[in-house]
Amino acid sequence: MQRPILEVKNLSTTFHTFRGVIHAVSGVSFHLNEGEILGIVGESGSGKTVANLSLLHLVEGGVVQADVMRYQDIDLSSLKEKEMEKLRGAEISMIFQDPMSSLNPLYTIGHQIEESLKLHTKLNRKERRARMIDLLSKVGISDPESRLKSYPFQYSGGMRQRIIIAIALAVNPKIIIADEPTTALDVTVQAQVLRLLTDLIHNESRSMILITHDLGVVSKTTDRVVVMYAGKAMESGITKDVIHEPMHPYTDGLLRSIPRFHENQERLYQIPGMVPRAYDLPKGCRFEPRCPKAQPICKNEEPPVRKMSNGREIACFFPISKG
Amino acid sequence: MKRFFESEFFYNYRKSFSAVFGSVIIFLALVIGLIGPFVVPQNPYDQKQTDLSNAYLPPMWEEEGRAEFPLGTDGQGRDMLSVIVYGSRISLLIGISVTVISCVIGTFLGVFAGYKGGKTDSFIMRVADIQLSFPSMLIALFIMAIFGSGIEKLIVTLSFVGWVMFARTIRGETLSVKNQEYIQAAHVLGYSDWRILFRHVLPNVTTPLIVLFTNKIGNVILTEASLSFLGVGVPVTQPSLGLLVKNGFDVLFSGLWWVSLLPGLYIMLLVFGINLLGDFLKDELNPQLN
Repeated sequence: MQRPILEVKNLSTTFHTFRGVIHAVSGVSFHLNEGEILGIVGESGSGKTVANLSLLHLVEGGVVQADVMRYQDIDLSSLKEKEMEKLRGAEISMIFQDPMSSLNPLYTIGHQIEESLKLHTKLNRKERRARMIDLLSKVGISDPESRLKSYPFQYSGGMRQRIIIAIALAVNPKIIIADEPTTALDVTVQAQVLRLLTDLIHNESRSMILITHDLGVVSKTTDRVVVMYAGKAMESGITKDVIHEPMHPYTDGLLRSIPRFHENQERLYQIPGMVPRAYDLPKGCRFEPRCPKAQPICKNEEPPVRKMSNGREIACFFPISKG
Repeated sequence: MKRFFESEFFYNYRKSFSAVFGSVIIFLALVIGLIGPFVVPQNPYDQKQTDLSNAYLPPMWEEEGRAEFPLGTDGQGRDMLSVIVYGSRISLLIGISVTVISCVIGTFLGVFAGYKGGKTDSFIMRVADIQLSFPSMLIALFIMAIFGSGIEKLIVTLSFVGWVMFARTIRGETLSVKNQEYIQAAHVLGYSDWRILFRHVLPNVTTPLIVLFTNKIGNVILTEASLSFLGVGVPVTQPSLGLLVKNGFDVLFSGLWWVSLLPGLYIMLLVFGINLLGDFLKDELNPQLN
């Protein structure tokens, strides 16, 4: 078996606030193989973004702990800030949710792409220019030469997201972390941008972590998926397996909440209750208060992570079994 | 440049009478300050050029006035027009340099405090709060009384008092810009903190500076005039407009009104012009009003 390019074991990120300790991420493990797209799914506040920011040391005011946090042969948790800066953008890059505010309004597109090239590469002026034009045509911007001189406000949302992708790809990073890259876009543009992203990943043998709450996006684009809830990984495995045969009641609930074409649904299914507040988590399984299959043991004990066949992992005492 | 002249900002500016009027006053005052000394009839501080027997001559339109001294003379026989032109140079010099210095210091501290947050932020802002809780005039009086008068000392003192306003405003702007995604994106691209601070945060917080800067100049000129009037500002050998008002104040009630009133009027006009422009800029650049 090949060694994953990125490996995280037992990652915890906590914030100490006046309301108490907030466990934004507690004991999450995942890995990313080379050339693979890993989906991380969860509701807002489930810790999916924080987990990834923790990797890059970008969590402000939080304490990050992990048994293993490894990129290739580099131990991420021991990196100093200076070394981390070299890694960010050059090796691991990130794309954010809102393209309208992810570009600095005061600089031209060209300036913003070039800044990263200047910092992380030794290319000269001409080479940088060639690279920028190449990047823009790759992300599907027509007439790239004149577009370099435009300012962000002259672009539409979809085009801005393409520019942001171009900036993220500029220095040829091995891993791209895309944090809900299509959430702020129109549905038609969403499909285009996702297609573009996945093509760029597969054609150039990069790897990607796709953070999203859209299971449709997950099933279409990712190879493996981690389902997170209230800072914990509930279920993970090969996307097809997880989507077609969810074993965790939470995954099952999420999947049942998707509207379907061919069934006559009076009312959409919803998971009862609310996400627990981060400073007031249940003692046992975090999903217990909302779980239709909960038993007394779920209330008092945290379910251990069980390894199943085909790389599947699940944190539940009573997984749904086939049949 | 062409883009500026075609902008909405410039259009509104042309339409606003008070803004144009204000800038004309400022422009004239700057021209007078720059080339005035080469044009006026005498150098009032060269004793060879003044004559004590010409003391207290009224302006030329009064009965005893002489065309030689269009605005009359003071107690030393100095031409009032020349005195005012020389004085306005000092006032403008102090006004502009104090504003520039406090703007630079205040902006830097403000952006730094806002960006760093935590203890750095608390420390800088508490110092600012403490300074704000004293009237700035009082602090300035106190410092000047200890160290004595002098243009450089006055500039240092007023800058020391003046940075607070800049720092507070810029800090507020920084707090909102800091949470924009493009700043986070800059972190992700591996840019260093200083680079982000200067290249990405700073340029995005400067809009309110233009307004603050303009108003501050008028403000400083007034404070300087008050301090000089109280006798702790500029030295007697380099009188600013405020000191001129003071010098004439002793003889104001003997009917020799021009010695005090004319420099006073000039201060008023100057600050009026600056405030007119400042008000226009405030309305124009304040995003809440647009």
